Amino acid sequence: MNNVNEIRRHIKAVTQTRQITNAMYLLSTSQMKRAISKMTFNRTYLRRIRATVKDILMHVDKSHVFLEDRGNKRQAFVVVAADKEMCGSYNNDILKAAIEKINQSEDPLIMTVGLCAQTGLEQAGYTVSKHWYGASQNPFVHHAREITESLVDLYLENEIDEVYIIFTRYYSQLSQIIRCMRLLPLKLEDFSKIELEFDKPRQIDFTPSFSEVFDTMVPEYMIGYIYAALNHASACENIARMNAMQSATRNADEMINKLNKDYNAARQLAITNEITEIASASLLSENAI
Amino acid sequence: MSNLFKLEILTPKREFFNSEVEALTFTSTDGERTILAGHAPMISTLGIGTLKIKQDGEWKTAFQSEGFVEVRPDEVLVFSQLCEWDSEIDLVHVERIRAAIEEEARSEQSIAEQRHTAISLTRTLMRLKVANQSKRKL
Repeated sequence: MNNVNEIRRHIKAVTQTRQITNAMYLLSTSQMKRAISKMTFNRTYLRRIRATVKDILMHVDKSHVFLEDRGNKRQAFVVVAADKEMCGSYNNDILKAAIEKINQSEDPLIMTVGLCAQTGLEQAGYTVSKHWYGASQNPFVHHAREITESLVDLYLENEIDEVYIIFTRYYSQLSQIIRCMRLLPLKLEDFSKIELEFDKPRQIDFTPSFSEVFDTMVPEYMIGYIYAALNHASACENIARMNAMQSATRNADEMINKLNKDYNAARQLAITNEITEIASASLLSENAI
Repeated sequence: MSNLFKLEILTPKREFFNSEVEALTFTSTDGERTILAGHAPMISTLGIGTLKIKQDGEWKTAFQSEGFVEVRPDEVLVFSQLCEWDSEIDLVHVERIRAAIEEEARSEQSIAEQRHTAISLTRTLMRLKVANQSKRKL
């Protein structure tokens, strides 16, 4: 008898969990759609700003602080992961890739976006010097601006020599790849894949002055890139969460099915037992008379 | 030669403008500049301020945030953090942001934070100015 009750309680618990995973699945589906729709234009923006920056870099013969190679000793890494768990291997994958990159560096400075990146790296024994929350869940331009400001400040104060961003790039629903991209200093070789929009050598005027143009243009480009990276990461995170929750819901369904069968069998057994008991009792009483 | 040129204004969030225009006036870090068709190749900075576009003989006004402008022989490209038409600016919302920033400015802040607040405040004040100017015209 106890067995039947136990199974009934188990079924109830699994049904409740299934409701939660199913709700999270629906939620992450809509969040993913929103992230992808935000990304659609942002992609064009990024491609065009990169093409323009490449074009400008090709016409530059002077040096600027944002272009200089300082011997890349002290590297800053910005690791973008999720704020929340429950998204399959998404966080672990990015942490693994980040740790690999960080270990290659002689003097790394680690900054993180998202709670999971921070706790994950701290548990692995690294010091996280700066972190931002909320930016990977629903990225806004002001998040990218804040991140850029602190990176540029550190760079101009000569605290760091190079800046990298590690994030998951979205290609399609089925393909997301972890990328590590150099943001500072700007190097023409990082733009090798970008096609120029207008390919003719010409004399370009810099107004008000060459250095002032680079002072504003480079952070502007970084804001564009970081915003795009945050959007990509948020889309990938929601895809990972959607898949994880979908399989969790499927597993819960399977479990409920199996438990229902067990429950029926147990109930059947209890009924059979009862009938046997009654029948044997009546046989006994008949014999007694 | 045609006195029109192709102008594209891009922000991280949307394509703000894409059409043939007669003139573009923008606020650079050292003052306002106007670009007409056939301008020499140039790259300029964009400060916080007003952006004006002349199309079909009429001037349109918008708010612009930091960025840069590339004048190419084939078109003019503007990259800005944020652009809004004067009619799009929600005065109540901006006033609320302004109050929040001014509240923030009163609390204790580091130098970096102070600079951040100053920039945000300039941005909101400029938005208010752009929106109010266009109201007065009506």
